[in-house]
Amino acid sequence: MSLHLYEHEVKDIFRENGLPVPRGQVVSEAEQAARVAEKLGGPVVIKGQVLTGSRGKNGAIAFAETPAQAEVETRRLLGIKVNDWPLHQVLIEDRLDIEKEFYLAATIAPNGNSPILVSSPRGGMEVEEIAEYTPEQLRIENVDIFRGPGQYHGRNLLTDFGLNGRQLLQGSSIALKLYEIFTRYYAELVEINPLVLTREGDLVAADAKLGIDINGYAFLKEFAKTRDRFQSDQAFEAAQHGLTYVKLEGSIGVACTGAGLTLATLDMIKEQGGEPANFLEFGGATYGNAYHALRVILSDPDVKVVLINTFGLVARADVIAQGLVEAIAALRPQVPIVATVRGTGEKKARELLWEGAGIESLQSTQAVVEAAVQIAGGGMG
Amino acid sequence: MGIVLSEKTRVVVQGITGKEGRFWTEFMLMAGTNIVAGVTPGRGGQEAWGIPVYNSIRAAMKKHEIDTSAVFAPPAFAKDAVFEALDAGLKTVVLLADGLPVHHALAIRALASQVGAMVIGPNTPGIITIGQAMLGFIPFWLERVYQPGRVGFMSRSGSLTNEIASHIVKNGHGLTSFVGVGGDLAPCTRFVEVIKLFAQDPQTESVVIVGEIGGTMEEEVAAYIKESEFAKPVVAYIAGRTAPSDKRMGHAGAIILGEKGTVANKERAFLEAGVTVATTPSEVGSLVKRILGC
Repeated sequence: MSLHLYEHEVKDIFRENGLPVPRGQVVSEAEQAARVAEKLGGPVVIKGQVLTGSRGKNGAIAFAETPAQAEVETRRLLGIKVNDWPLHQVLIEDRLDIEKEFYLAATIAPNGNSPILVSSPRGGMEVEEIAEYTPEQLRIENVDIFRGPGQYHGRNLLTDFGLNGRQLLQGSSIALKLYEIFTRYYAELVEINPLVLTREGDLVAADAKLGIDINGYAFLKEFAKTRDRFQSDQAFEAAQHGLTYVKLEGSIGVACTGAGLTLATLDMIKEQGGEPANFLEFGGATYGNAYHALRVILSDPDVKVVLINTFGLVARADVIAQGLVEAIAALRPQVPIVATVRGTGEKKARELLWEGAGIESLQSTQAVVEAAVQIAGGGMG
Repeated sequence: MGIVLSEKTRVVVQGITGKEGRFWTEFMLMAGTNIVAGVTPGRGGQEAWGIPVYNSIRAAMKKHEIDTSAVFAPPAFAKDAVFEALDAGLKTVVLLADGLPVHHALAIRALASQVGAMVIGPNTPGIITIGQAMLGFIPFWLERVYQPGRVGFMSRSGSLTNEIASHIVKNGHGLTSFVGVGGDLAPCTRFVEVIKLFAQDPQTESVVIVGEIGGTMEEEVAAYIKESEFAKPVVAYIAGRTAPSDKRMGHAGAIILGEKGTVANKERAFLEAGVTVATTPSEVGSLVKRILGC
C-alpha cells in the first residue's frame, strides 16, 4: 500500500531538490486565486488538489487568461467532488507554453528485483495505457540499489525521444534527482507526467506524483497522517491503527486476518450471492487492533451484518477475541456478528468470545460466509 | 526430508529477547528446531529458554556452528540484522518482520543474490518441515491443520495457508514443508526459487501454490513449470478473483508496468502450464486427494 501526497506538496519537495516546477501557489479561497494570478501575471492553470487520478477527465483542472477568470474558475472548483474526494484547495500555476511532453518516473520493477527509471515520449498519457498499447515507446532502466543510477541512465532514458544538447543533459539530471527523491521518501512511485519541454527550450515538471510505501512512511516524520489524506473517516481511523481498509459496495462488513484470507473470504461471499461492504485486514503486526477493526466496520451505515474470520499465526486468536469482546461491550453493535476464530490460541479465543459476547465461533470459513450472506439477504428482502 | 529446514539445521534467533521472539522461540523449540544461539544487541550473556544470548552474530559464531538465522527484529532494525547474518556468511535467513519498507527488501534481495544466500520474507509466517523444525509463527500443534504428508506448500499468505492446509488434512493428506514467501510487494525469495527446491525433494510428490491478486510471482512460476516440464503435479489457488480492479487491496503493489497481476491472468498462466487450478480454498483439499489418492 502506498500513501499519496498532494501535488502541491510534491512540487514543494521537487523545488527543494532542485527540480524545475512552474511558479505557483496553493489557495483555498477564490479571492486568493485572483491575487495569485495577478502576481503571476499571465495565463494560469488551476489544478484541483485531490488524491485521485485523471483530474483532467474529471473536470478538476481549469484554465484562465485573467485574474477575474481565475477567481471564477476557482470558485467553481472549490467544493466539488472528484471520484468522491472533496476538493478543498487549488494550485494556481503559470500556464506552460508546451512544445513537447514526456513521461518520467522512478518506481519498482514488476518482478520486484530492483528500482527502475521509466520514460516515454507519450507524456500526459497514463503509463498503464502506454505499457499496454505502445510498449515500444517505453524506456526502462534497471537501477542497482546500492550504486544508484548514473548520468548515463538518464541519457539512455531520453536520447531516443529526440532530446539532445543542453536539454538531454538537463533531462538526465532531472531523472537522477527524481531517483534521489524516490530513495529519500521510501517511494513506490515518483512520477512526472507530463515533463514538459517548453517553447523556450526548458524542461519543467508540469505535474508531480509521489506514492510513499506505507511501511517506509512510518520512518518519515514530515507528513502527519491527517484526515485529508484519506477518502473516508473509516479509512482514516483504520490507517491510524495500521489497518488496511477499502470501502466496497455491499452490506456484509468483513474483518479477517491476513490479506490472502480476506480476499478469499470476499470471493466466497460473492460466490454465495452476497456483497461485502469492505476489505479490512488486521492480521500480522496489527492483530492487537481488533477493537479498532470492529469500530471502523460498524461506523459504516451500510453494514447489516459483521463477518469475522481469523485463522491467525502470529495474529493470536485469543488476543483478537479479547479485543472483539471489549469492542462489542463498548460499541454495543446493533447488527448481528458471525465469527470463526481459529489459529494460534483458538481454544481460549472460543471461550472468550462465548463468555464475553455470547458469540459462538463457527467451524469454518464456509459456515461463517453462509451465515452472513443469509442474514444480509434477509435484511434486504 | 522436506526443504530448506530440517531437525539438523543449526539456528540462531536474532531478536530472541523481544516480545514475539521470546514467545515464538518456545514453540520453535517444541517443534524440534535446533536453536543453538540467540542474538540481541545489548543482551549478551543472558539466556532465553536456556539458549545463550549474544550481542552479535559474530560472537555467537565463535561459540557455535550456525547455518540459518530466524530474524525477529522489528522493521526498523530488520535490514541491519539480515545484513549482519549475510555478512557473517549465513546462507539461509528467515525474515519475519511485518512492516519492512520495500526499499529495504530490495536491498536485502540484492545483497542475498550477490552472496548466494536465500532470504525468505519479509512479512512471512515462516517455514516448517513437518515433524522436524519450524522457524516463525506457524501453529504446528493444530492437528487439523499441520500433518505430515507428501505435499510441498508455498504461499504468499499466512491465515489462508492455515485455511487451505486444514482442507488438505480433511482430505487425508499432509505436508512435507511449507514456505511462506510473504505478502509484500517485493519478496526476497520468490515462488520460482522455492519450487526448484521442491522439485529435488523425493518426499514431496505434489506442490500446492497459494497466490494472491497483484504482482507477477504466479506468472513467473507458471512459466517455469511449463518450460521445465515440471514432473510433479501442482495445484494452485489464487485469492482475489472478485476484487474490483480499480481498488488496491492487500499488499499487491503499485506495479504500473507489464503484467497486470489479475487473477484471470494468473489462472490462465497456470492452466497453460498444466497446473490444476482450484476456485475455492476447500477445493484445494479435494484436488490434492484426487491427485495423490487416499
